Amino acid sequence: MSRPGLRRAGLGALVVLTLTAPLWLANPYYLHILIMAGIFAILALSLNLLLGYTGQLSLGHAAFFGIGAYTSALLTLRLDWSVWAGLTAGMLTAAGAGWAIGRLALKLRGAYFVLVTISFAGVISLVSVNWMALTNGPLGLPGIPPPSLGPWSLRSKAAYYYLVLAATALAWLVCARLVGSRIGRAFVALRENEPLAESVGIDVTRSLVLAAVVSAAMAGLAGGLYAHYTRFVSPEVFLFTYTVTMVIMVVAGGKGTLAGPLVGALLFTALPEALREATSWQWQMLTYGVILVLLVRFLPLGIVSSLSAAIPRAIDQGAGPRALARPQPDGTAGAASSASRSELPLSNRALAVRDLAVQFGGVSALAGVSFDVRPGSITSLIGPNGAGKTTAFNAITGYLRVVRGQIGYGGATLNGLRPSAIARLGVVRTFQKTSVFPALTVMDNVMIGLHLRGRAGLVGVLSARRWVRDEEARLRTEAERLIAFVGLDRRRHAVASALAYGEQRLVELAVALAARPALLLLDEPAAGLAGAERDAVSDLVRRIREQGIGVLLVEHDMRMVMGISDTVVVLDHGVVIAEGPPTAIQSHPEVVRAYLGSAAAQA
Amino acid sequence: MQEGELVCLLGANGAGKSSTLRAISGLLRPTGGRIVFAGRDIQGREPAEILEAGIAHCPEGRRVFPYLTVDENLAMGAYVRRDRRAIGEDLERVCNHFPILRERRRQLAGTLSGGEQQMLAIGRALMARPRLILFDEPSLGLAPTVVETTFRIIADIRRRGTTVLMVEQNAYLALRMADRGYVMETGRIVLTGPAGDLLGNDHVRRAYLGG
Repeated sequence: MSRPGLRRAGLGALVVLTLTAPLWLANPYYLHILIMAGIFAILALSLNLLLGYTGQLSLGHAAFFGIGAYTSALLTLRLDWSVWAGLTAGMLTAAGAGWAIGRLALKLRGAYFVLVTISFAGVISLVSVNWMALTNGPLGLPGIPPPSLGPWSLRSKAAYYYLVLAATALAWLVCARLVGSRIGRAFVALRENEPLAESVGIDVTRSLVLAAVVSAAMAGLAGGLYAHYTRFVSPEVFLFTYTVTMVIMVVAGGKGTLAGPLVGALLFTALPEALREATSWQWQMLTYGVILVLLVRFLPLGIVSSLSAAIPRAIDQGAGPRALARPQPDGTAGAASSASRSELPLSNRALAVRDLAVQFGGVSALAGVSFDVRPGSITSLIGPNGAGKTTAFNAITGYLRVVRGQIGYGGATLNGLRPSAIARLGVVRTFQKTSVFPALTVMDNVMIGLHLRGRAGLVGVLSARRWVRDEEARLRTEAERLIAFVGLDRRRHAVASALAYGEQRLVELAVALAARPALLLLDEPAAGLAGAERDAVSDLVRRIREQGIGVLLVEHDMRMVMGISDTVVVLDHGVVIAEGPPTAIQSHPEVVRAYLGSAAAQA
Repeated sequence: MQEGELVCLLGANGAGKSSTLRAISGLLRPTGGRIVFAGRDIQGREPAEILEAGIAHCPEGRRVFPYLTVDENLAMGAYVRRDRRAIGEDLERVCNHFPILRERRRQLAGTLSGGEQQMLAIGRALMARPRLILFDEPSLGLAPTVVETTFRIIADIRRRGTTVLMVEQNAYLALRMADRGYVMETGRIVLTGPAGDLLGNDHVRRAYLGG
């Protein structure tokens, strides 16, 4: 049997076993473990959405779990709501809390996000203990009703098992659809390289808040299911150990994978119970700890990721010197037609930089710089190292605060806009230090670049509408065309970090082009490329210009700069010392002194 | 390579040049083959051991410690050395080579411009006072005047008896100063010879010198 065949058969057997579990599991205790594993699987999936995909660690997930549990419990107990309405309300309340946390954590990443989530969980836990009138304090809320379906009560373990199984499947489906969509790609982009994600128009705040809301809603659902299963909630649901267990499940199972949280939840719910039977209590925690350490030591990426990495795949063959193919005419035409779809006519899209000043501490990096980039033309920015070229790039594209001056673009002012907003206007940049999404394939890199060309929102993605699937297919075709355009078609499925330096620069170029720029800022695109490859890049940049796109180029290869530029602007010590056509610049005495040196003759 | 030689490695992207350097300096573990330095097998050894044996690596892409000052970065280059006085002399020499580094001694390396970081990376490799130095794209992102300076410095290093193995896309400049060259394509060496011969070779001219 072939490998995919085997895989399908294995999965099929697993599904049958899962669906028939209450029939062959005679002991209700085992069924209980499976139900708890299902509830934890939903929690782990929800945490994985944040930790595994956006890369943000929430240590407050027990709070969303508890909010879901208490909300549903209180509504069914005090107001006699149906359990289904209670579960829904629990989800929505938790989602609201997730939204608040997401907004709070707006500017906070990494360690600060962790702190905010821990404090949040601490506060909610204190409220549950001390607001006696509402929560009955540490005594908890007993007698929570079980759900019923029409005339049937779902009181039995077998019935509840199917309910939890359905909820787990739903949670998994939500994750799977998100991850396979432009929304999920935006999450991963933030994890992999936030500045680059912003440069192609991904709104960081929106994406993080969305991830927090969906994640919190799922945790809230798990909380509600827990409350109506144990029929009792107390402040214990907020225990930090629950959060730690979730993190262990996600990390040991395989964060950033869809199956990892499921495997982790099953394993780490069943393991303590198995140990309880196998050893005396003194050894339980010790053995648990040893198993965990061994797992992390030998499967550092988690069970699922490590196993799937162990399965060898067909690897793309290395690209020879001629792999950097000449751009294909049809690819060019396609990109041109899509570029012209922007709202403003391209001819109006000129960049006008006036009296731009930027300071670092007391040092003035740019001291009043003015220049223009016309559509369909190439303007090069050259100058000694430290002259302020990259600073100008960062200021124009919103990565740096401007002290003084105006950056006008096609009637809009770019001053003070965020990088993603500037990208939406059609101004896209590349970075001097190679900047790709390292853990993703070339294809996925470019798909992220296409973010702004898709329109699918949360509802569309979750309901998997036909037009969303069509859009996805269209983006994929477009990505392949762009990859071919930069000459990386044979490397399509290679992971970006495994590519040679110069190939990574081409990936960057494809990602930037994918964002459909009307003005493209290229920071040393030919750095690290050999002679013939440089010529190919020059050719590429020319073809980009032919599409009516304005190009602002920073490059030290004078043969390239002088060969393709319409205008050259020379910066030194933060001011423009010369501006003009290449021929005039090449012989400009001050430029030769400050920058070109005698090498000008050889170049 | 013979002691005191300057050899350059040419090839397209992905040909395996950087991987070759990384295997020599121990950053990559070779799956097969031998690397002998000064009569000793060094393949598969730890990078620190190889550095102590006398091989310094200046990797491509401006690798500096961004949150250390320029001075501290240079001091890291001399991490395995014990001869304090000579370290001071070398620091002086590096600063003479790249005066901008002296001006920015107390600045965090991450705040330097790209080209300045490249100078710092070269300086740091020199601080190890190696017997063999591996340069990966030393001229990357440097202004033409500084490229000239950098090549002058490399020539100077070699005149003082240090052996140099260099990967450089500016093949013309590299070959003009090298003794010998190797051309790599998809993981193998396809051509080798004295630098002058390679400069005149049609294939090299077309693929790497550009027009």
